[in-house]
Amino acid sequence: MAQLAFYGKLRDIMGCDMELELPANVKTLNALQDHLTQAYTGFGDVFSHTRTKVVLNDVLVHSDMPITDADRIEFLPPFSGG
Amino acid sequence: MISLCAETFDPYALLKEFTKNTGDAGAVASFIGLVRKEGAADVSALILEHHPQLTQQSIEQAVDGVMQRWDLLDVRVVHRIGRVETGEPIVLVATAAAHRRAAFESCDMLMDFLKTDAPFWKKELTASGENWIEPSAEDYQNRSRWD
Repeated sequence: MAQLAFYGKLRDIMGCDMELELPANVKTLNALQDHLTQAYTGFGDVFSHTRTKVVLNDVLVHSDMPITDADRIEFLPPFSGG
Repeated sequence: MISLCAETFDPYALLKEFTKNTGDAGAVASFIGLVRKEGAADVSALILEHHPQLTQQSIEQAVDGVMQRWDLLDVRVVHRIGRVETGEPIVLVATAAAHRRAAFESCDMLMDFLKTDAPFWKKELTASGENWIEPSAEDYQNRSRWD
């Protein structure tokens, strides 16, 4: 099961972090984002923001990457500190 | 030194301590950010979320960056996490250098970085509900001055 974590506004939309058995057609980060966009109302609205970031196994990634059920994937909406 | 504080802190005491321990600094610049009520919005508090690893790491990298860019003697960053009440400090940035320009500019750059590039998520609690806050176009423009 892939471990999914969400922060900020995305956490509110998703309700909580989750374990997900990746559907057979979900083999990349982009495919997972499409899957979550279809499955959860509001996810796509936030995640389409250009400043949203993805962390794959503790590493910030800037392009599509292959994923498996062994991965931990974190979805970070735009940062806002200070 | 970088601190993420789950409880309120006294920025003035920290600044006094920082200033006392900067060695031969001729200039200390500082910024203290406070939670505003925002007038009619009537903000009662902010909730600051952070990332368990990336927030500290990214601030450390930013501090390393300003230490390389300017000739600094010391840097202090304190940022609140959790619930921060109106009127309480949310952030302290202090920089020490031999001369004022390096201290001013490095402090300014660190604050611009914290606004847009450090993994924090800020939700304001108001009488009419909760709102996630995102940086303004001006915040991003300010940050881009340092690229």
